[in-house]
Amino acid sequence: MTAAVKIYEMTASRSGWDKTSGTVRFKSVSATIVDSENRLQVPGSGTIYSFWKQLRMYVATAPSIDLQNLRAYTDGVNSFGTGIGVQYDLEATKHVTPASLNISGTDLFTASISTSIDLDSGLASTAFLATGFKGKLLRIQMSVANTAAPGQLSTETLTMAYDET
Amino acid sequence: MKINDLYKWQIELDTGEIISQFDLEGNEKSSKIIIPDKVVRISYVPLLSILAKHNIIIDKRAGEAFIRRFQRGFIKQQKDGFKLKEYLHCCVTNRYRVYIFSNGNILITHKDYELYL
Repeated sequence: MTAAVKIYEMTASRSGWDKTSGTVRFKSVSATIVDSENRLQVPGSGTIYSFWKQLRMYVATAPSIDLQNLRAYTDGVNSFGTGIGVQYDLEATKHVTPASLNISGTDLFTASISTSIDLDSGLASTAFLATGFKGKLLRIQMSVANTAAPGQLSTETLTMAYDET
Repeated sequence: MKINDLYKWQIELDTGEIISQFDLEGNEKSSKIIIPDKVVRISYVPLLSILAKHNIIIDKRAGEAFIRRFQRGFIKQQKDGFKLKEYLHCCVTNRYRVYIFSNGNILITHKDYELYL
């Protein structure tokens, strides 16, 4: 059977939240719900940072074969507008309670098709034949500078890819 | 039917033996049981009759060689959440690659080209 792979948003809870039918929204609190509460406010000066979002692949139906070469990337273009950025870093396999500290990561939009983020680099290469989480956590965080324009942003697309061999 | 179930692979060895992706009980076989040097044909068989079947012949006498095969899934976050949007099969040879899309289209590329959508 081919694997059923889902994307989960990890919080302090080990089980995380299935995002198959829900988007990921950056907020000013640690929350996975997608609504208009706790929005990021354009600051009067300087830059503010959202609470982290931690994304990880979850294998809901165990593959009969191996799963590897996990990747993440964007279209390479930040369409959020002036003063708004998204940065990322990789956490091994732990998940923690999200915070709003600046992660000082890499611009997420530098990760495109040709420069994708390797989500299983350095992890054990033994065949993965079970259900459960697979690969590293992708931690992302939005920054909003005082130069940003107010208003709701349009959706950006994040792609996560995997190989079955 | 899910897009990752639309095609299954089948391989013929130079001994005449046929290796299919699934056994009679529906269990999937690992590509690791395939001995690349012995492969003379790899087929992608659709589970829907409206899709094309694809056969790739490995001409060993002309120096062609099968290297490996894999499937690649693409999960994209769009307005409706993270969904599996495309699922490719890929056959890698020493001279080219063939990517098979879930709609039956194929793309032939350089042997080292990694296709991401």
